[in-house]
Amino acid sequence: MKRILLVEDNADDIELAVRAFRGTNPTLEIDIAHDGPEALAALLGSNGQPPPAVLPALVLLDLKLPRLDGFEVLKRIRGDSRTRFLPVVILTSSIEPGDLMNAYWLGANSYIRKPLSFQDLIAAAGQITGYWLHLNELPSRPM
Amino acid sequence: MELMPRFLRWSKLRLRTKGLIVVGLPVLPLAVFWLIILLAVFRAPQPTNSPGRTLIVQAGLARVFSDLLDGDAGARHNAFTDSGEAFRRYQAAVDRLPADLAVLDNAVIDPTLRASLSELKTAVDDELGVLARVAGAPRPGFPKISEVAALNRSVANLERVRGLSTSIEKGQNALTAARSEQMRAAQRMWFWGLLAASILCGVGGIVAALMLANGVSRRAAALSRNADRLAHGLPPEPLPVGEDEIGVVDARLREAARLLRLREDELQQRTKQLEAANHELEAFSYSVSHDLRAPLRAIDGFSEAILQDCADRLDEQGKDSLRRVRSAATRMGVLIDELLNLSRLTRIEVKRQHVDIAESANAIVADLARRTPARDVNVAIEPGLQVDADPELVHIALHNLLDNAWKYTGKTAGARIEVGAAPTGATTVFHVRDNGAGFEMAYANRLFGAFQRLHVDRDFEGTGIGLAIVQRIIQRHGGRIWAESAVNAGATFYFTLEPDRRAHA
Repeated sequence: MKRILLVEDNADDIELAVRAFRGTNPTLEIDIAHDGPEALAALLGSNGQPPPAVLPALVLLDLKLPRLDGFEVLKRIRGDSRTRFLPVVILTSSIEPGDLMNAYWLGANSYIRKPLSFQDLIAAAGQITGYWLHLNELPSRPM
Repeated sequence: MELMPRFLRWSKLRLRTKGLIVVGLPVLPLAVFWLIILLAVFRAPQPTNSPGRTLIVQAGLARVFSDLLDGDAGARHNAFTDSGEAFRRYQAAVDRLPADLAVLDNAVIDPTLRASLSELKTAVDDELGVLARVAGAPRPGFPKISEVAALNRSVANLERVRGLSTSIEKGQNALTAARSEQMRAAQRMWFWGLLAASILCGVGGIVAALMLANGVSRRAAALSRNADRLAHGLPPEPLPVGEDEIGVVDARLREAARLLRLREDELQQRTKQLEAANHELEAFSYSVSHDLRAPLRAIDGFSEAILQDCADRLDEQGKDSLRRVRSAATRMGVLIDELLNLSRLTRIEVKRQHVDIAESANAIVADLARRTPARDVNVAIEPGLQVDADPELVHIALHNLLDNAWKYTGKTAGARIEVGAAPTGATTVFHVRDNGAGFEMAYANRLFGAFQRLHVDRDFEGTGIGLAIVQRIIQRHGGRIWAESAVNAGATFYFTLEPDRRAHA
């Protein structure tokens, strides 16, 4: 059973993303973080919360988030030895070329622009999970 | 120099005054010279003891004396012989005397000499009296004793006249000599005076001219340097001391420089404001791209969810309505994206480099042909269309123009698209021509407005943003774009990618 972490503040987008990803992978377990600190707590633990025993197989990260934005979250994920190689896919509505460059520069594995059409979202979800979750299963992963 | 009164200081003088001094100083002796000549010519002549006057006096004295001798001789002869001839001789001499005396009286002007002259006249008068007695004595007979005495008196008178004549002649000679000496001295004085004045004024004029030329050239050079500095936006340097007309021009120049700096400051402030506004716009467009699209995603997503979850409870009409909702949302998303593209075009920097327009156009057409293989379009692209422009932006503009040409020839049999250029003056005018649907020229001014469309979607689909983008790109390059068309006769879009050279000339 695969588990992924969705970092997203918009309730509509959360529900649509959940639908899209469940549509392609019905058994997928999806954790939700609504802002940056929540996402970091879920991955690395925080004052009142121990770090999780098992990391999610994939993080879907929005860029525009309350309190701590996606870039900052990504920077901290890459700055921690435990999550340095955790697959992070940016899922954002920004079309600024600078944002894309910045995200890759900070170590994002992929950059997906939120499609306007739900059908496209389902397709994107299929591609993302198909690649990254499958990659995770490879026996000889050097980590 | 500080001791000099202000109006005499050379540096305080106007160029006009300096010029007058430079020209006037050397001419001054000439003016004095002419003044003297004029005075000499027009002044009433004064009697002087000239050599000529002395000659007249000498001659006058000699004639008077000779008249007296003649008269004396005539009278004596008559006294002894009573000859008529002797009496006539006496009478002629007496008759000449007044005229000869009058000449003398006119000629002698010195007061001392005139006193001697009047003594001489007294002696002459006395002698005339004596001679009259001798000449008028009764005849014949031996002369009387009284007449002999009278003759003796005549001798004394003649002696006296001779002495006086000599003294007058000497006096007159001395006066003439003195006057000649005086005139020579005056001539020497005038000569040296005029020579000194000429040299002084000439040298003064030359010095003034040098000072003027030097000052003017130095100050003019400084002025021209200041003009140069002004042209390069540098503050003016101080002008060499002076308060002439060049100083006035310099003051104007400084005022202009001050105004220019003021404008520059204003401009900088404007630029700052503009940058701030641009920054704001960027933030705004980011938020638009993020926040405005989110509800659209929800509309599309949840419409789809309804279609999936409640398919059994919806009739065909309901499903159709939902599909329309979704397509509207999609369309709005496209509009937002295009608007963002447009706004980004106004902000990005134009990086000019060498661009091959023909190459770019060929690539675009190949792409269009690949995407719509069913279309058969005759495309003619003039080879070797070169320009200095931003390659990416030019590609976007060309893409929009060719995409339009492709689209609006969709219903034309024998569709044809041409890309070419013609040099108009110094600027190259490129064109993209098609033989498609065209448009009414009456609406040409609305062509390039954002979301302005001249065709309905049913005929030709579009957002109405393409030409707005093209125009923005052309404007960013400083060029112009315009179109010519007629309904169903195709359209030609002309554009330049550099500022009109004529506008700068």
